[in-house]
Amino acid sequence: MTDLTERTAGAGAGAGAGAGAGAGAGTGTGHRGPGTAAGRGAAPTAVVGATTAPDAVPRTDAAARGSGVGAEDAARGSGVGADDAPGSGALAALLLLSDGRFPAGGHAHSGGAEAAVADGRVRDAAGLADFCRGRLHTAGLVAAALAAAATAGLDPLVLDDAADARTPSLALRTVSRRLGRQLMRAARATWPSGELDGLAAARPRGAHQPVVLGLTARAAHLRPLDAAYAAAYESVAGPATAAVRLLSLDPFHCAAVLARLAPQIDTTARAAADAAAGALTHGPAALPAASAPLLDISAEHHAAWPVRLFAS
Amino acid sequence: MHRDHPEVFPERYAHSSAEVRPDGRRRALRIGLGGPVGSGKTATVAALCRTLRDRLAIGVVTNDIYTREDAEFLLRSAVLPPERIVGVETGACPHTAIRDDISANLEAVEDLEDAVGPLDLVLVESGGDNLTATFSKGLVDAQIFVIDVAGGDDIPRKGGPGVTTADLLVVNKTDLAPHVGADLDRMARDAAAQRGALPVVFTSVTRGDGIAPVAAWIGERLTAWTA
Amino acid sequence: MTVTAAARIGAVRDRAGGTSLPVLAGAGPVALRRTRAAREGWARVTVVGAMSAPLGGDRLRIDVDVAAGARLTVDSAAATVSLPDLAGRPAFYDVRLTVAEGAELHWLPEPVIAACGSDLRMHTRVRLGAGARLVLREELVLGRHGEATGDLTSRLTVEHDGRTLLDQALAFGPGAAPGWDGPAVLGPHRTLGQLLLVPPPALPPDVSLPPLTSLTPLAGPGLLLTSTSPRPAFSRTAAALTRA
Repeated sequence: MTDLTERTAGAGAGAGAGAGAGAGAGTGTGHRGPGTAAGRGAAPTAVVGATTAPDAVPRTDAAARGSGVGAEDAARGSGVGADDAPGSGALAALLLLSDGRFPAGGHAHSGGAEAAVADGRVRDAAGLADFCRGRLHTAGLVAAALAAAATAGLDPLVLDDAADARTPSLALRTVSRRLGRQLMRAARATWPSGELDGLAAARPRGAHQPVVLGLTARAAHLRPLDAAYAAAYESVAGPATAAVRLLSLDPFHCAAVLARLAPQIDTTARAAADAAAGALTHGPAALPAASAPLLDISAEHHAAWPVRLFAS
Repeated sequence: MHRDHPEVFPERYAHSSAEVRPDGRRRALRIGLGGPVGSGKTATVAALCRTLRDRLAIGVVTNDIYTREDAEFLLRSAVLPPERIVGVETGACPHTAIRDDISANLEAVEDLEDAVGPLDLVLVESGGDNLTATFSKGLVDAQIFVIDVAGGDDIPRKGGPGVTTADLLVVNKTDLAPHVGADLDRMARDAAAQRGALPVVFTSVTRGDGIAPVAAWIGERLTAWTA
Repeated sequence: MTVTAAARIGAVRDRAGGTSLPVLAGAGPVALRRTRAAREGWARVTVVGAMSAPLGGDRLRIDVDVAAGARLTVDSAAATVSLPDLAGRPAFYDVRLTVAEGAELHWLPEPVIAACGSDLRMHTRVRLGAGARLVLREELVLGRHGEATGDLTSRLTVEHDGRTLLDQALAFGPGAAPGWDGPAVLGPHRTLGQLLLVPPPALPPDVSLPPLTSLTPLAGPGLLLTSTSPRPAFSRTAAALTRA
């Protein structure tokens, strides 16, 4: 039953991506002007000096980055990795950023899984899969779009407000800002950038995590779609890892749950990147606002528990 | 807030134990306390607070896997005002929070100093753990590993990163040695073999002045820190 | 046959300190009745009649404009039942609420019920001036008694003094993204009630909430009650908060 749903959705995603690749191939190359290539080519050396003069890193202009999202990646097929130029390091940067061991605090957060397990909503791998699917298409989609928009060059403070408006739960806003600050710490040490410094200064108590994630991806010379992938993947990998600890789930089953979600992670990341491209033109109202009532309600309850293993 | 004013240094985030706070003051000395469950970490923290609180401004961050249990023990024993004690959730992985991903603990330590003003000493207590847990140098300036004689007199011989590398090894509950048949001389020999010149204290932190040698060691550290 | 209709309500403060309704224009199936307000100084409008049945393909819209100092309650005589369209087309229901500085609106419609096979897309846009007051209730019921649900999406966008206070999109039903009825989103529950209060009222210290319910301050001046508890429990809590 579970598998069937997944395959159906996956097949749809595959067909969509295939069609896009055909249609987008022509325009895709057009978006990558010589300026883009030069900018990215200069990046690896510029990063070294970026601690003091991050703005010296030539950047693709925001609009080009944003509008290129859909067509560019369709033309390339896989769509992951900011720059396929040898030695740019961008694909490896995405792996590092998405690694559960990246020291940005995620390990102590269950993404609502601890509350769901305690309520009996999630009892086994099938329940975890169902939980992750729901989270991916709601909180995951919104986080991915905010992250992609930050990478695309939308004003991070505008996005921070947009994240506030999309997060009615005080507990979840608090968590998001706390994780944002923890990620900011790791990001500034890893990919120093003037933009990260600026956001840290403007939001000393922490900006929303997806916004920091997107800006981190930008500092690492990733593209909006890459940031969307990182956020979408993280929205399910966190609860899955937590469920292994909370339910003593077989870790192989847990990994299989994530693997079967891959097609939906693809569609979510692409939808998020497309929305981010739209937000460059139409403003943050164009970003998705998908809400998950049980995540919101149980986050408030979880925050009031006297004793818990996970911070959220 | 002054946390991240525009002149902030990125390296503050790279080297989390940067010694100067953004406001220019020298931050508190941070001491980690690790060790197996039940060896007396929380009792050591409580005794240190009682002994040192009149002389030093102290804060405590606890990492118990059941988040607030230790914090509440400290609150109940009223060793410090409640705002000086904070708990950190570790997602059921206490190692990770003090060693691999220290970001939540760094937040807690810095928030504590921001909230209650200048501190001289912050004690970071790890969740009860096994012999392999150690603190990251990015989080603490020095670490104390607490074991107890009732846990088996072969622990020093077994070694492990905590016993071998901690800046101070406390062998606690020595008063129980006759009752559990622990050979203190053997423990001392094994510890010396594992640790070379690194100091070891044999004591019972809850008995009389049992905390004094630990407090004295922290005092030396603090003198060096503020020198 | 499908319907495109836009009804309008305009409320202003009159000289006597009451509220009058210079604009009260029903349209198509949306009939509006002025009804007796419970409180002095308030006007009340009840949406009645055929409004309670948007069919696939319909495009219904209600605009409410509450001018400075006016106080208006809008409710409805019966639940709104979204019914299927033979051609499978969605119905659209747009609500635009504008509340000026110092004005107050209580928007308290009966639930929207998504009948099996239906597809309704609601968008409620609220613009609040500085110092405007709002109580907004929204209840979604998935399926009539004992039947499967249709598709129901609801986006609620609230702007307060030029800033977005809340932007929330709910999507339930067989056409919604996978996982909508799973443990992260709605689970086995088939009702969702929300009550938004701007500005947040001073609450009695012992507000007791039913299970599956949260009450949370927004990032701006608002308080949001969200409940997947059965309707009576939500209604009681919502009523208690509205009085607070």
